[in-house]
Amino acid sequence: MLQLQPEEILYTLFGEFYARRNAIFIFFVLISLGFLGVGTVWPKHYTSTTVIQINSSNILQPLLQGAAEEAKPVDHVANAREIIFGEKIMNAVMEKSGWNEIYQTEIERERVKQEIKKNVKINNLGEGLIKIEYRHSEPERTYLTVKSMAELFVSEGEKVKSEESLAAFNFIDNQVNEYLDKLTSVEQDLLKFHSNNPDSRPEQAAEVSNRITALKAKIEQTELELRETAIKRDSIKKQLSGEAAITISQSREGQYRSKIAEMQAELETLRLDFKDTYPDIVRLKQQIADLKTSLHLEIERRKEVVSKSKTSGELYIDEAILLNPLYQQLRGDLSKTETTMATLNTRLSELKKILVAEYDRAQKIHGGSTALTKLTRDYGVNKDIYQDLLKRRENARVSKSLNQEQKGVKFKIQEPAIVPVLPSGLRFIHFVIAGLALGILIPLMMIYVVLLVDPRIHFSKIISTELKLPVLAEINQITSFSEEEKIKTHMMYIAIGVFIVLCIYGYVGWLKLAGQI
Amino acid sequence: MSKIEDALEKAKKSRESGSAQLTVVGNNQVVTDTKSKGLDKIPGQENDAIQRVSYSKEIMLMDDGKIRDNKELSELKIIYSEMNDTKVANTFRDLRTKLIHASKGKNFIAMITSCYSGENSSSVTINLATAFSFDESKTSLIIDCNLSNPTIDKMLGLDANIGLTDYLENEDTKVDDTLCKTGIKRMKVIPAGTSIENTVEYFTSARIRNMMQEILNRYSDRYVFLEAAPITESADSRILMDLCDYVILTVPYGRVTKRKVQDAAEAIGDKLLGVVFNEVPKPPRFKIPGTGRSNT
Repeated sequence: MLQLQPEEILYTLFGEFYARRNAIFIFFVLISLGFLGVGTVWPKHYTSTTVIQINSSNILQPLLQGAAEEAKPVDHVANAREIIFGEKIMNAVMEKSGWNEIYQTEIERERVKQEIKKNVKINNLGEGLIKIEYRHSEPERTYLTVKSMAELFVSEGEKVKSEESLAAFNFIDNQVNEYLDKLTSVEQDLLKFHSNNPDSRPEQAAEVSNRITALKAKIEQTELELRETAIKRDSIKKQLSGEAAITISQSREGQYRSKIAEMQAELETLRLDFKDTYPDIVRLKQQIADLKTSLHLEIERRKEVVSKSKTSGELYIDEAILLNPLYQQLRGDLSKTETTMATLNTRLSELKKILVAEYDRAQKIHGGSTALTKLTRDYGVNKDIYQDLLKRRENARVSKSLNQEQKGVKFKIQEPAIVPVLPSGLRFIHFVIAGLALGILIPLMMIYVVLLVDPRIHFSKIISTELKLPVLAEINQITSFSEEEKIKTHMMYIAIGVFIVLCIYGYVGWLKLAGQI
Repeated sequence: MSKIEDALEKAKKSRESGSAQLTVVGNNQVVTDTKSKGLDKIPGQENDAIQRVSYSKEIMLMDDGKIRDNKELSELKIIYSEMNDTKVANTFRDLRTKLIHASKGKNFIAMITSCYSGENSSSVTINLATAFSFDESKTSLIIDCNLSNPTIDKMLGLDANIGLTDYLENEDTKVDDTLCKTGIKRMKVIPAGTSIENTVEYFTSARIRNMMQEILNRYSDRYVFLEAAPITESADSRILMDLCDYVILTVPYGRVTKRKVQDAAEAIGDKLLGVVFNEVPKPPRFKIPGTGRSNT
């Protein structure tokens, strides 16, 4: 991108400006005289303003604060627009400002009303201040319109405020009565419920709950005891079996074996000293043989009984065992244990029945409690709102009284309207200045734009920087003596032309000041 | 008879007398001037030292015809020392200095060409040659080689009957016969001539090479400027480039695009000395109140 110094641009710009002086002069004349013409016919507008202070707090807002949803901030401008542009005030403004005297027919008056509405600006200045601004070609009419508009708005606003406070009181009073009815109704419902549900006291639920907890604990305790008793019973049964085995070992079979062993020992002793034919040895042998036979018989008998007991399932108990005192004690314990178990089972089933009954009761109590809670809550809410509304109704009564006595009015004309002396907006002098300045600046800007967008070379810097070619010299146009003379004459004509334009400006300005145009 | 004519007559007689003269050459050497019968008769290759003799005196006594006054020069848009717009004259002086610096003090042949046919580089050629002729020790010669659109003689208001093409066509024509007085001190012109057919053949002939050598060698202080047709539109100009030492490209303000200048520069190649950006519009001149100086 080519970076040109401001002086380079200005030099070329003024060079072009000078070279194209004819076209530029024509542009200057057209633009400046064009602006002068527009400035001459441009309508004058006068603006009159007034500032009105309005109390920013709405009468309903503090009264209903907390009881209803927070209202949006009051749009004073919208309210003012609604009041001022209302048919009632607009008609009064037309009358007071003298519009009706000028315009006789309804159609014309309606058109004027629309025109006034279009040219009235109502702006919010903050802090409860609104500005009413009206623009019109007649200063007196402008002043009267704004003045009457402000006065009518204030008086109407006061009335509206009074009506508003009355409406607020009535509204709150209605609400108080409505909530009183609701409260009475809920009280009756509560009484009815209590009479129908004597157990539906809130402490009953706690009692039932405690009982259920106690029952559950007892059931758990009983189940635990039952399991312990069962374990004890099993243990006694095992002990009983073990005692039987010991007893069996001490039975006849064992006696036989002991006797045989003793005799065998004696026999061995005798054989050390005597031959086998010795009578004692023979006797012992026979006795041992008899004992072995008896032992064998005994074994056979036991096996037979055991096999029988296995098939029949009955516990085989030798009579010898039955005589064992420990065995007898164990049997007694077993009996006791089984009795205990039966007792515990009975107790458990009873406890479970009671628990079910308590559950049913609890459910009934809970249902009743929900209804009671709802009724109580409704009662509480209605009571709170009712009491609150009672207070607010008293406040509303005070506000209403204040407004009725014109003591609560918050509308005030802060800055009254004045008759505008100078016209507002674009004035003739603005067009004069703009015409002369733009007559020069617009052609200059056009040349500048052409210099920027024209692809042809206007700066030697382009050749040296962009094309990278050495520039040996930059030579200005050469003018001959005769050309210089022509230029001088030409410049004189241009100067005369500019002077004529300025004279036209002066003449038109004088006519304007004299009020002739 | 005017004083100038008297001086020229004396100089002619002096040369024809045949007496040896001591003359100072460019490098302060003293050489003997042999019997010479006109500069065009000196053999080109035999005696270079003699050919390089400086004819300062002859320059001083050179017949420039009727010298034009400032008003006439102004109407022809030719610079002169006392002109009001000193900026233009000084710009051409600076350009002259740059060219002398580039040639390291030796005389040269420079071709001035343009980018396209709608552009007139003759003004730059004439004024540059004029700037060289401001120096009393230098002469300048313009040869109008733009055979398709010769403008130099018209711009200078010359009525030439014979020119470059006549010299190239006719063996009997001498260089001296084609030289035209311009009315500007120490500046001569060889116009395009009357015959402008087969122009390419003219510039490829040995005769034009000899002519250039002769012109350059006759005076060590003579600077030759060839006014050529636009380089991108003429084969003549490309052929002429071989005969010259430097090429100067003229670019007029606000009339050519970068592309055209780029094409012209590429066509010229290494011999391009630089670009002259001309016809730049200037803001009006006025005297600064109280200072007596102008804004330029």
